[in-house]
Amino acid sequence: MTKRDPKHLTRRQLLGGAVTAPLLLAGCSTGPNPGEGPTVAALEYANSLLDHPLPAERLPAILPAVRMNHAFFRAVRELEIPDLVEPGVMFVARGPEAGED
Amino acid sequence: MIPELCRLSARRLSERIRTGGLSPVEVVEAHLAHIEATDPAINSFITVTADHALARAREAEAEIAAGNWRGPLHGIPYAPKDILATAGILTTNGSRATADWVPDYESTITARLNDAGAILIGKLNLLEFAMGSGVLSGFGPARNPWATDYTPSGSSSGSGAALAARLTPLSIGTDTGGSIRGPAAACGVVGLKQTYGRVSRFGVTTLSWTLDHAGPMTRTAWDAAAMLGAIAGPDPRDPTAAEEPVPDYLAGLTPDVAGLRIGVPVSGFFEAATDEVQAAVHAAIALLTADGAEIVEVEVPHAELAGSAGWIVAMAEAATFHEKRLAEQPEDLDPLVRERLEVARFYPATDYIKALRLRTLLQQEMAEVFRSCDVMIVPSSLFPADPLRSEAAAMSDVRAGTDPDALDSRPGNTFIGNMTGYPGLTMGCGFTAEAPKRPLALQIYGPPFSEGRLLQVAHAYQERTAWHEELPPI
Repeated sequence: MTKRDPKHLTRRQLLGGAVTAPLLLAGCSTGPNPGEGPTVAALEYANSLLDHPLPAERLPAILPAVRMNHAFFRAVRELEIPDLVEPGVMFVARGPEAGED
Repeated sequence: MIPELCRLSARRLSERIRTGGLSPVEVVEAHLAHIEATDPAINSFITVTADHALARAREAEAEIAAGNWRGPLHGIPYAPKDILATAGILTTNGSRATADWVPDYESTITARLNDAGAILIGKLNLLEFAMGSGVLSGFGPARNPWATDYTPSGSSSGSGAALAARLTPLSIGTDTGGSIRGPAAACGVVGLKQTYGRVSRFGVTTLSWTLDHAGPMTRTAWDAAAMLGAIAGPDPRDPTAAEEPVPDYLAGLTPDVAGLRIGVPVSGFFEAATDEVQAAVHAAIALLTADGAEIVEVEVPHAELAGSAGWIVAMAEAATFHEKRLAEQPEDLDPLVRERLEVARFYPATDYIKALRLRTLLQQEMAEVFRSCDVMIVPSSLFPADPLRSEAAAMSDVRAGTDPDALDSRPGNTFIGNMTGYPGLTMGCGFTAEAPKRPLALQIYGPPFSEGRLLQVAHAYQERTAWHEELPPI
């Protein structure tokens, strides 16, 4: 198991994060600067699949925030997690002795 | 000038009410007058329920005089964050989008506080829907009583501010990534995010179903224990509310810390804090070890990822909850809320699931920590309160001239409690040397359902210090 320390990432590294999500990957492949993260073209493609698509003019407006989030999640996305670890959907509210029943 | 009655904790007010020397009407009147005189500078209240409070106070006075004292909250004013539904009373969520909402049902928390005899005196300001800018909501920013050009943090901003300003002795905050503990730290009060499921979420407007908690905010650990005892327990209206028995939290409040094993992380929690915050937290630990507590080095290997993973979970769930509102009322939202909800529409499901798998790792790592210690003490906020942001800066998470590394300051130290469900209590442990004087804070973590232990350690610390008795310059 490895993890990347986000404090050691530079601005360039953060903004240059590889796109791994299928939707955005498809969109980014058509964008002019895939190395910079999601593009407006990527958002347009993903937006077309939503039940309640955002107004088109909002896509360039939120692009910097999308890129910031994308870069921010990079360390989580790149974390190698053992196959046996399943999603912890919600904390199971049991006392410390519940397992002894 | 803060009136004498408003300086008293709920415990001291209750003692005087119970013995008949003080009327709940006097207590409520004093707080209402203090709110009227002081809150225009703090903006912590959205609604003041003066007539309701005075009527309840007269009822409490009569009940107590007749020998029907309900307990330590009877006749004591409280004001919850305005995200808890109160039947027949305006509940705004801090948003123009729900500015006129008057619920026809009562949250379990406020219902239980009312049953315990506590008296609602108003509803408190917050970051819109518990995730806004704190500047651009429909109700303006709450201000920090220690320095009114500074933020009280959020999202329970009004709760932290009102407590510090002595406008109420009791509040309820909500906490999805640190929204009880952030304001508690910035304002130098006590905030308890209890174990997930310890307190019902029924009637609390959702930010994130799997991360949301609601809990006590007070000025003393004793008061928090009294509140938790009143609001904790199973609730058929919240399927995640735990069946775990509710202990007598007040009975466990002793000043003894001999033999207490304090876990101190070797990495991941202290490094990003300012030197002053680190020094204050270490000084607090030293105070406890001087009286017999022991230090145990612990490690949470993935702690630094708790903030980013928690953010994925919180915003993905928020975007789901607010999907219809975002489609129908986008112009009514704080621009920052709108941006965050819009951005989260583009989170891949795989990122969300990855964050949930990290959640499992964090739960395993925290369980391992508490095999070797009773509590873990870390900084709460990494730095003291910041100046209030300008309206321009509050429009977006992306601010010109800032470094994306600043994203790392998203509160991993608190988010880990939400991601794991483990309880955390924040309390003041000093003040900045630099003007303006602002609180510094520590956080005490424990294993599931160890709220009694956290409150006991916090009480023991307050018995040895007087940070919580200092008054802000209002």
